[in-house]
Amino acid sequence: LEKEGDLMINLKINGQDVQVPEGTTVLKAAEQTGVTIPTLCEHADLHPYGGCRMCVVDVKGWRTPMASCTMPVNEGMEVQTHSPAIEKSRKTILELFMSNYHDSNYENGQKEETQFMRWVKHYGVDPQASMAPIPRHQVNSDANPFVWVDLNKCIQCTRCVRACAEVQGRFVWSMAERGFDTHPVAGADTDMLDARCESCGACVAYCPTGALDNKMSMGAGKPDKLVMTTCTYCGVGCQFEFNVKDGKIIRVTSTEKAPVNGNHLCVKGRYGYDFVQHPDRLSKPKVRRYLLEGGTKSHHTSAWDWIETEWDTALDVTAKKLHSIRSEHGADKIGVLTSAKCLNEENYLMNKFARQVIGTNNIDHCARL
Amino acid sequence: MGNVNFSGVIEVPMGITLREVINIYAKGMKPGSSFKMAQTGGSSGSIIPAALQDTPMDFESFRKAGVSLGSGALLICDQNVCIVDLVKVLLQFFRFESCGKCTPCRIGTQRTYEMVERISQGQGKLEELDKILELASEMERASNCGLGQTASAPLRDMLKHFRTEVEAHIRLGICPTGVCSMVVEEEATPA
Repeated sequence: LEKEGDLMINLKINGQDVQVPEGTTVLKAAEQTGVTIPTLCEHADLHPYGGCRMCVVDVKGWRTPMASCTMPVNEGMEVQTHSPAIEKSRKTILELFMSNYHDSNYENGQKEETQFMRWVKHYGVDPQASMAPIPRHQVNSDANPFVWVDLNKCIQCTRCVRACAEVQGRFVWSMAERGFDTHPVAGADTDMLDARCESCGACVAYCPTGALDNKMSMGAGKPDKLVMTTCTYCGVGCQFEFNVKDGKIIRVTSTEKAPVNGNHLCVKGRYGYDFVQHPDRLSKPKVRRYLLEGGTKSHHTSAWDWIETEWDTALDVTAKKLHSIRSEHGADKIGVLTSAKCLNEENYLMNKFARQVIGTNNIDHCARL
Repeated sequence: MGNVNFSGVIEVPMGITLREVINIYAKGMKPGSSFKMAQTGGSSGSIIPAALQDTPMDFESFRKAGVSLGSGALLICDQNVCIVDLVKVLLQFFRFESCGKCTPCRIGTQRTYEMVERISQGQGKLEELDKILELASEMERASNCGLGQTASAPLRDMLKHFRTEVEAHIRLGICPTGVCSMVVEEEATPA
């Protein structure tokens, strides 16, 4: 939305003078003055929508309050972001949301607080008194193995629709019906996977209420700590946070702090984390017994067993073998295959290792298809 | 249009009163009908009671009386029209037409419709009247477009000019005009 240009606009926010470039929204301008305007449908990564009306502000001379997320600044504008009338409007809006919201485990202390729950608490709306008495939709209404859909918590902010279209480019979600019956549907009201969903979980990451959630992490609770890490699946180098509880990874959350990918992840990064703590995963090198203890190679003796050992020992064995092959048969009898799970830097080093240390051009990579 | 002898498109000079429009252009109320209220400017316009029928119809006088001229449409209602029923029908229209983008209109039209419907079914509560007014004012302030902003106009006028009639539904459990069923009916076709 923000335009290039040198033209600066002067306005007043809560009596404070602000100067921002032309095309900036009132919401962004307020952020610059340190004022936080409550939002739900707005997200920095997505196009502004102006539907939830949480971000309404009073603008002097205007008939009604305006949604600050969609309103560009004008010269000489005077904005009030937290007048008593505006705060009352926001509370009414949250009460209206709540009257159409149903979650039987709203506050059991086990759940992570969503953006919606934070504002409900902030504005002192009583969830028990104003929550819809009966659910309108089936809980867990989609068969997608990764995404949990519970439209009883949906506030029709369309962040899932915009995330799917603008971040992932899959256009799975859209809004169906109108008025009070408006709700998100996948494709032409089919299952997400039928609507060509890639299960990237972007809709989950952007959902402010938990209407879309991570199916594998339902009921897992709050994490003890967040560990920022780099994805091992490919060379893009996406970063995300492991949510760790009692030493176990309970979910992956994407974060705008990640320099490469921001909130965007693919299905492997967001949901393919069970290998990390799988009992079958090798965490130490293993070497055939005959290589450690001498003897001959045979499929039918205990000499063929895998023996767990230290890295130094294993690397020594490997180096010795490579060296003997090269001196007995020549460097071109050795080939090196590297992996997409390595970093670019590691792959570069393997290239150097193959061509300069070993002296062969037999170097390839699993992703060079 | 409404309970008058002539319905159709008429052109009148600015500043004419509603009484003159009914008696001269619309050729009077239908036999047996007496004027009770009129809605000016279509569904989102104002509902004005008989007491205001001598207000000159121009922007200045109407604004002073808190009435909107709107599109110029006039709906004339006689003594057999119940204000609660009329507002219920209007809100049914608004909740059906709401596009569903912004919260005050999407949920507000539904919740106010439910409250007015409860009044027409004899299930109304006095404290809900204040809730209706509060919701009406928030819908007017916070909605995205004109539909949500003006959907509350009939509600406000209902409680401004016809509060006694509405309270009769709640306190006495009767509909003075006999229009409202005053019982909870099964909806034949859920909207």
